Amino acid sequence: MKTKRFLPVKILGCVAGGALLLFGLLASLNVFSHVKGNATAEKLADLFESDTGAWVRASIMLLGLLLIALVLNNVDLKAKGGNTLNSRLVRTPIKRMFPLFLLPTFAAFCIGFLYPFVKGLFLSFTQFKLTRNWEWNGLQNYSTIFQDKGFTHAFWYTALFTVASLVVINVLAFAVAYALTRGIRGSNVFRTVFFMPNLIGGIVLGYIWSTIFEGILINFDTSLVLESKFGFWGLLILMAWQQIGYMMIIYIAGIQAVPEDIIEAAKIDGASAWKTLWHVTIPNVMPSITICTFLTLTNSFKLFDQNVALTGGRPFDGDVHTTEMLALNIYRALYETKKSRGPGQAKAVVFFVLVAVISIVQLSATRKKEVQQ
Amino acid sequence: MNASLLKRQKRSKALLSVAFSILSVVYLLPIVTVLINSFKSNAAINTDTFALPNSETWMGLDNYVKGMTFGNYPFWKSVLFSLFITVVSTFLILLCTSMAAWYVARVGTLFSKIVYYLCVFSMIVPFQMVMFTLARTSDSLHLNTPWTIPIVYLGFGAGLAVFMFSGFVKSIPLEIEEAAAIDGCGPIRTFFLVVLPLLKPTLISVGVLEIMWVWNDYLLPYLVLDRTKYMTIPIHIQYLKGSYGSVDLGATMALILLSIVPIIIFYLTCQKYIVKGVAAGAVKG
Repeated sequence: MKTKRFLPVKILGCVAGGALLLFGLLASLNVFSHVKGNATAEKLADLFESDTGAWVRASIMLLGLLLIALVLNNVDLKAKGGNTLNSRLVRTPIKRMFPLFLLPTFAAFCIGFLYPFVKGLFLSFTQFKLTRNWEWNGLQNYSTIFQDKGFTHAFWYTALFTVASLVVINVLAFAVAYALTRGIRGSNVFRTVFFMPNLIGGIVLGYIWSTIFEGILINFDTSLVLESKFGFWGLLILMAWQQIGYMMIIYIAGIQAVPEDIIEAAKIDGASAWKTLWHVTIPNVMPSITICTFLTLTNSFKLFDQNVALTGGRPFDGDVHTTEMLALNIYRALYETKKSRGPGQAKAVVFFVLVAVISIVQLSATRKKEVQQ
Repeated sequence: MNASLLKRQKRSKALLSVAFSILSVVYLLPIVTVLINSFKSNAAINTDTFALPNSETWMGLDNYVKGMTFGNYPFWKSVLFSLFITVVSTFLILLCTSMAAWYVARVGTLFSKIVYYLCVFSMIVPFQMVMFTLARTSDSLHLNTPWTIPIVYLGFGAGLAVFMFSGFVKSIPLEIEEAAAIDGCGPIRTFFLVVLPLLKPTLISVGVLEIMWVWNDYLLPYLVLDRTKYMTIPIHIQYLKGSYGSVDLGATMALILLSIVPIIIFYLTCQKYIVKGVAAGAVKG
């Protein structure tokens, strides 16, 4: 019933907010400068599309969003299951605190994520060098990037590396976690040691390992940046060294959460250690396996720092940088190009779609195999 | 029969212990290599990477002294900027997102639902998707200094933090807050005196994740910050090593070691929380 009150005000608020938001967005994308031969548009472009007017445009957009937010914030949703959300005592006073509790985070979220995302999506359909001078290009960018040999190579290289690291890291991390939960002497020290590389940043890690690999390979008169297979295995070793500790911690938590009595029951029934592991422990740590495969998959797929620091894509084979992964390829297409950055942004959109699809498919696939408790 | 089985188990456990001791030492070798090389001359690092320094190659603390001012940018400045950005960003993220998450979880309006799903959505968007436009945006809004970059971190990191916090808030019984309200607490006091203490485990795990992310982050500050004036440790090291022909390996090794030491100290002192935080954060995220 309550939602019907002030309906005209609400609609008006939404429309006004939407108009402000749209206007700010158009000005931010420099649309008015692109309209030729219209006096009003030229005037608007002069007023709102200068380089110094960024805060003005941002404020207009935020104001529009705020109006919409205030309206939508008064549309109460019915709580599912029980009356937890309907407690007047808690809910109504909090709702009045909207500007203090939600607004700062939401404003930062708009600046740091929402607006760049929308603008990035828009620019992927254009040719641009600086964001204000774009030219509409339709789907052209998307068709050019799939003919870009460097990009397709980076894609397959990333896919191969992701699969390899997924298997290596998870198998080793599970083995280590399993061994360390057997109650052997010094478990805590080993845990501390294995986890440590995780806290070192990717750039530093890359340089530590490139020093080591160069130190080894110099004895064979070759170098890390001379053969692409060295770069691949090197990166795999680096990632394993870094990630095993992290995944181990998650697996240990999972293994320790397996109820003691079902392990005992399996033992009494005469199951060997191997069978207990395979048929009792592993199905019960499925949630941890889900998390770890998900984490290693996305970590490897999005890898950038380690790739830059270890080989930086070398050795080069014409336009193809043989050890370059997708993230680095996108970075080069955006920042090291003399031509339009449009294709680079289109690559970024494709990359986003790939990561999103992997995340969703992978999560829903492994969730099904979890043991219901 | 049973006794021999026990004996065998004991033996295999001891063997495992020994094997893991060796493995741990091997695991630490890369860091030891950096330590050794930070005392050696450049030529020796190139040719005899794994040899201990001898009287000829020993450089003492020369590499460290050289490293502090190497590359026309004082290293201590990078350290201070890194420290400042990490502390302020983490504090800002913890404060703002925990408040936002409580609001989102408790209020249940159409708008708070939309914000929640936007946050979940932002978790699957890779940084490369927004990096170019984010860097341009923060440039034109003058968010490109160490004093303002925490706002960018708050915006980009809000998704995961709000998601984790609101997951935990939902498990807090509402009766506690109702009791606080009946006793006359407004929302602000309820949040800071009742809810925030209950959130402590999640605060720690989100805090650990954010510290690890911000301290080690390279690309975001590299693109957002005005690099001629401000550097963080990862940018500094990349700058020394990645570019411009003459690389001073010894000085770089010294700086790499100096950049690892604070992390290791932080890790060894807060290990309990870090390990717990990682485990909890992963299970929820």
